[in-house]
Amino acid sequence: MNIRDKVAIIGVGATKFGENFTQDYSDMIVEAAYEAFEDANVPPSQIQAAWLGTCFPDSGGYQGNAGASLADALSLYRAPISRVANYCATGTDAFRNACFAVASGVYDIVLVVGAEKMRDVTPRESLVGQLAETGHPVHGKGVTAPGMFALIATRYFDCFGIGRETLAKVAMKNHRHGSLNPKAHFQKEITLEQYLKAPMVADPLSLYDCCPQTDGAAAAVICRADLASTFRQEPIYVKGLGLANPVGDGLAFDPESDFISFQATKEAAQQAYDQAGIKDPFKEIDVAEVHDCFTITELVTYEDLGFCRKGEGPEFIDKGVSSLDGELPVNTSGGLKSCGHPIGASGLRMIGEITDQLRGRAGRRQVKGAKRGLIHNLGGLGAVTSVIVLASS
Amino acid sequence: MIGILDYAAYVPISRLAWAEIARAWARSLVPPQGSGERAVANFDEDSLTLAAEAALRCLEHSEGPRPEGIYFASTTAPDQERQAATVIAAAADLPREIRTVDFAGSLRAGTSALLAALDAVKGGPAWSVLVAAADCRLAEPGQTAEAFIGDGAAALLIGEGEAIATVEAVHSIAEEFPGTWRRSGNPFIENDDEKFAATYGYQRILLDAMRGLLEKARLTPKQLAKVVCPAPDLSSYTALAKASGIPLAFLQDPLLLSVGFTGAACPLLLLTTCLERAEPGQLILLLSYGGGADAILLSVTDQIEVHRSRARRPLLGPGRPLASYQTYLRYRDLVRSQHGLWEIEPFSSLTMMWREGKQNLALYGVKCTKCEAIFFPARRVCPRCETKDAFEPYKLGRRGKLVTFSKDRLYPSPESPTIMAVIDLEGGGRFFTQMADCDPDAPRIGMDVELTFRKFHESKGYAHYFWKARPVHPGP
Repeated sequence: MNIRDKVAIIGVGATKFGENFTQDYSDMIVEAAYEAFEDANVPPSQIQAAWLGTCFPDSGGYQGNAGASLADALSLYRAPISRVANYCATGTDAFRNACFAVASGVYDIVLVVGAEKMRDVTPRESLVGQLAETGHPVHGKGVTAPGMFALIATRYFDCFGIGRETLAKVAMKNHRHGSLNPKAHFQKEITLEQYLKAPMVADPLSLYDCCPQTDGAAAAVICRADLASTFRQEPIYVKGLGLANPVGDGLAFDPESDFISFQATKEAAQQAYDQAGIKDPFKEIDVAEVHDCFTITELVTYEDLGFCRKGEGPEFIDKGVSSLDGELPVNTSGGLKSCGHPIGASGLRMIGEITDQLRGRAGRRQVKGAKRGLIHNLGGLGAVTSVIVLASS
Repeated sequence: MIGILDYAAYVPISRLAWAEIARAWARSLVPPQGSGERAVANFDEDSLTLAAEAALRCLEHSEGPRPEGIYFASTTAPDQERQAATVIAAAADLPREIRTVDFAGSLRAGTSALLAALDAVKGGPAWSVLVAAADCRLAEPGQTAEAFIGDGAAALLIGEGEAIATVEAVHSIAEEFPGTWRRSGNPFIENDDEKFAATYGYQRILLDAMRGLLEKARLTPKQLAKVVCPAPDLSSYTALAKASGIPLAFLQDPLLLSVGFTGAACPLLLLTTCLERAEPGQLILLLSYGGGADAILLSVTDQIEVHRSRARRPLLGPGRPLASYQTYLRYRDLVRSQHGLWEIEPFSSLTMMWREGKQNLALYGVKCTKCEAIFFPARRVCPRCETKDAFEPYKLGRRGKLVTFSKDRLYPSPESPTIMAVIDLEGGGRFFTQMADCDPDAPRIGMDVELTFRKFHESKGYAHYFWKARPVHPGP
């Protein structure tokens, strides 16, 4: 069975992404979910089942560890709820599982929420602590998230003869897009000088190559495609859902890793393209939200998604192809770079951005005439990638 | 022929200049004459890893049967109850059926281990025993001894075979003397009247041992080619040399100005430097002091020339200046952050560490018997040919080339950046680990690296040892 045209998105919602010191995990879920209910014109009482995407549970490993956290936040005790965790692809994978449940015919209308509370602790205790203090006691010990992706940047620089100036263009573009997004963590442009003067985090990645530690929640209400028009006009249809984990956690230990691409992205994209009937993604995709956890990831992703060939990523950004006014705008929301990356929430925020773009309601960030959009969500060092294709008809 | 079959030394790369110690304290702490420097173990090194490095170097060219014993000697063993010799035996991939002993309690522990190894080989329980001595002693910050102490290790393979030196005579003295001591729980060495200790302890007892040995062997000092004697500091050594009547040219350089006094390892370390230049037929007198003294007469054999003709790494290797005295304090955990030297307590399960002991310490991956793919860490189903349980253990090489790297300034570590390296190992397999002793400007894709046994952290209060990658040619 092909997933294409079985499921429709009828409502999306999201909190402001940022250091939400005045909100707790549940507050953010309520805000995102009720915005999605309102957008879908569906009362919470109609939700038949729900999926919660949270990667690292809050409150000492408790809140967000089970579907019960979503039930508690919304008092949604009637509906069965599953919690999904799949590294940074958590949000899109929660969405993917919900889509399959709807497509199976078991449920007509369900809720998907992604939420992550990262700034109730210091940034050092948040994701840095997660990587430094968990995982295998000695294998690969010493790595952090930027440290992992810097392995890719080092090798990519060496293979293709580029330098930090190319990554700067990705950062500047996404900050420019973010300045147009009232829900982004950072809403300001940066200059090349700022980029070059910023402190190094994990060479060759500097501060402006990295997404920040951010709180946020995002939600979507989805239903059977054949029922969508009964809820609202302009539903957005799911055309393809790809997910791949071809190297698992061991990319750095795998003798075949080339450190210039992510096999997971290539395979997930191929699955989604096949389902959606896409032959030439560059021509057939109008707008994309990709996983720019670090600038190098976005650069490599242009190539892995087939928007250009291997080694042509630098030219793609140099020529402004991925800018808001380019041929294939990428990360019109500002990406993880500007929005921040509350892990479980990011995938659903990306789905919300593409939904808005396809409905023509992205305001100053609107890509004219966008009909088909792509979401790319990558977890671990290419341990898992999820690729989703959505379209307005 | 029973004797020394092979030897190796290891001195950590960092050198702290006496002038830098004087600068840090804004006063002259060391005697003004001459300028020296001392070796400083890196933050991820301790006497166990220093000894392991020397032991592995000693074994890396030996083609004969593996030793049947590991004797570790140190006054600074990392644990009171957890045998260092066993950990070294595991890292050296020696079988379980060997004898392992830790020697401690005296600066004579190194020669005590050497003598015990000789007895074990002579007595027959072992074909050969590897003696690995190391010390990483601490003087209280600001004390003169801080400049004279050095960190280092030496390893001697003692056994029956083509010995490069044999032991001709031994004379030992046991005498309780209040010179230098260290109580349990005190990280710093202690002493009282330094002049009394130098003359009535160090000088008198060593001369007694030397005279006793020469008498036993019916030799005059002139028949000795070299006298190897550890020097705890400049003045004690100079006074002893004068009183012994042995001309300076016959005294082996005690490395006091370049490495420092390496404690229990010192006599063995100096012996290895002496053997580097020894000629067949020469007689060497090895002295060792602490709670008495050992005097050991060695005779160099023709085999020394065969040994010298083999390709070996430089005995002591290069040194490079330590950035500052503060870096020394940090390396030795003498200025503590809130969370201690390691700052973090990574997850660990000691059950898991035990289960993975052979893989992690002796460095075994797996090789698929169907498709020959090599993986570390071990797994059961081959990701290439998807065959289940077709893997066999595969001993990984310790040399390799850098595939890619990063310099992480975020990872909490006593030294920043933490350089992470992906390595293609010689013989197959890919490895991902931290780099050690690496200048941040040094890493290049394709660079030659070798794996070195280091301490990673102390999660659950238990030192976790594993392998880091070190440039084969250090420095930018």
